[in-house]
Amino acid sequence: MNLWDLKQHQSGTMKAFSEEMPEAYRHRLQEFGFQKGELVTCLRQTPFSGPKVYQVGDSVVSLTQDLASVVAVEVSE
Amino acid sequence: MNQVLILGKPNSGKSLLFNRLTGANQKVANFPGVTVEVKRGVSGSTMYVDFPGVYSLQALTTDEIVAIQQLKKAVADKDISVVLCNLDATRLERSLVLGVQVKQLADRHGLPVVFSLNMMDEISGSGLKLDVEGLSKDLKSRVIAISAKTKMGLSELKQALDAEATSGKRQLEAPIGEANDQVDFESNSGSLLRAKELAKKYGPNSSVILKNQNRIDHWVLSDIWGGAIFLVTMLVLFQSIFSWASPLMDGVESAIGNIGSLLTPLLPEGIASDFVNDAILGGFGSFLVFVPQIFILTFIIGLLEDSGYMARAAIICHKPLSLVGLSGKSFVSLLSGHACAIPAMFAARIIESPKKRILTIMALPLVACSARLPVYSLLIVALIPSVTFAGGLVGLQGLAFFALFVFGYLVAGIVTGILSKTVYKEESDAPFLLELPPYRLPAVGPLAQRSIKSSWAFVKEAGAIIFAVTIVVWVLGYFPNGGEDLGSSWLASVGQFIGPIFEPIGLDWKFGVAVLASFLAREVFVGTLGTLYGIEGADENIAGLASNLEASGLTMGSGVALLVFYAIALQCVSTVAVMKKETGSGVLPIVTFVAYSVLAYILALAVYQLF
Repeated sequence: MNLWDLKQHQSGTMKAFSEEMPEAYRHRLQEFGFQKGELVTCLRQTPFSGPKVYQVGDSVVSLTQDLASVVAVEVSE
Repeated sequence: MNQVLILGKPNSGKSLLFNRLTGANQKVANFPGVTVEVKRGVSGSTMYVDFPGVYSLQALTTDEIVAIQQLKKAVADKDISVVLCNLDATRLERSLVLGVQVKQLADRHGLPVVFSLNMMDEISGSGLKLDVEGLSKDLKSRVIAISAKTKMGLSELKQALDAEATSGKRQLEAPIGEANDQVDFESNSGSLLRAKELAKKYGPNSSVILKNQNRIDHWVLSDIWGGAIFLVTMLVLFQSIFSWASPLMDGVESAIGNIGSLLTPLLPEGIASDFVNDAILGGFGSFLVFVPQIFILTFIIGLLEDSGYMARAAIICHKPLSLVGLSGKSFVSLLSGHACAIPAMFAARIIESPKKRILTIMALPLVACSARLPVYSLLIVALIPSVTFAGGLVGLQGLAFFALFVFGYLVAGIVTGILSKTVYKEESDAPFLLELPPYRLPAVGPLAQRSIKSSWAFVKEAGAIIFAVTIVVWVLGYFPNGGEDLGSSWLASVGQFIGPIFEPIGLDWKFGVAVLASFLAREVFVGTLGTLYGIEGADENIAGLASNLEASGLTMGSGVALLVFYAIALQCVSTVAVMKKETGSGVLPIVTFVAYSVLAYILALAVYQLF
């Protein structure tokens, strides 16, 4: 499962970045708190597959599908 | 003189801190990455050097690459005596990622670091706790709790900086081993772990602060309400340019009128009196009347930036904008383009995708900027009756204004939509990634000062060109017959020569001359017309240019055609120059200039034929 699959208000544990993720973006996402083992919550979806809003630690970040779909997460429920 | 280097992550309140420390009115904004250049300000015996905000020492966007290169150079600079690293207490872990990297970099150069822990008013306001002393011990640096907004802790911060700068005396050669025996924090993983550890040990429970932010976002970013709030915000923005500014504009207009009636009896009759009345008061004065609108526009855009709404607007706009080849971040640049296309082109550097950045730059000349305001206002007031609805809240003139702004976006969307699928189809693209800053009440005082400063800068810059062109136009219009008959002046000969170009749009030679002169800068149009009508009827109310236009028999068809022309034509020498600098292409600005001029003329012609 990837970050983009998370529904609104659903949380998942961050697992890994896929190989397709450009390195500079991987660094930036890590700086925003997207690190292995962190709990990520999808706060909002926007209509027509617009960017989604995620909370991880003390960050609130908006990502589009091209980035969110290459971040693997695990939903425990 | 001590030099203090100010660093910090975007949105940590760093620019406001810089303003508080130096008293300078530097651009402060609550949108990640608005500061794109290094600012300097002196206070007492200290010079503060403010660097653009960066998330870490690893760059992602064009402006970050430049900022980080410059930052590393500055830390190595022997003139710098201390680094001030600003941390956002409400986002401690995120701020510390850069904080620990900066600390290590500074240690290598024997440079002391003082950390300012900003936004502490929000921490105590939420009943949260932060162990400042513990953090200070662990970081082996002074950490001062402050609030740039409420000015809390600023004198302690200045004392700490002074103490480090003078007593610490920068060690130019760092002791080998001291800096190297730690984990390499400049690499990402080291600094991430360290930031997490420090924030966990000493920081507040950030989820309390985020809860409020998320509660507001629930409405602001919701499917239905989000769109409605966005549209209402934009409508209020454009309405207010008209309604809020009009008392101020009336004030400037009557002040110019009063100066005229005071001065005229003092001047000798003839050329001197005619010059002051027609060229200075009539020409330059009619431009000054519109300055309050520029102030209000800058102020409201500032409110949107500082409150944190701009980032939300970028998210809401991302999908619609991506349909025409742009990004949500383009919106930030486009909206600031309403003030001026030049800073807006610099703001486009925050766009990660090279393709979307170029397209945003191409769209910017079509955004209704401050310089178009005087032209739009003048023609709207002359053409559209001043009717209001809904108890005076919505006016017909305001709506016409809004329609012109929308028209600019529409043309821009069509242009970028076509270009993204043709010329720029193969250009490299990059994904969208945006941090949502917390909502904050803007500091109105510094914002008002900043808006006054940028309006003044506009008056100075545009004013110089307008003043020069006004004088040339006046001389050509006044001679050889001493202002007796404008129709047989030198200017009339020029006008008649270019007349055939403007005749098909139903415009007489006076408008032709004004349009031609305004290719340097579009706001020259107003000054030129003011001068021309001044020469023609020197005794008339010089500031009432709109009524002069009405009396001249300007038809609705020609008026709307003129508006369409001004909405599209790239009449700004400075924009063309900055476009060349920002795109690194000499051909692109010329092609854009020619293409927009031709398009403007063709559409104006089409509109005139329709009426």
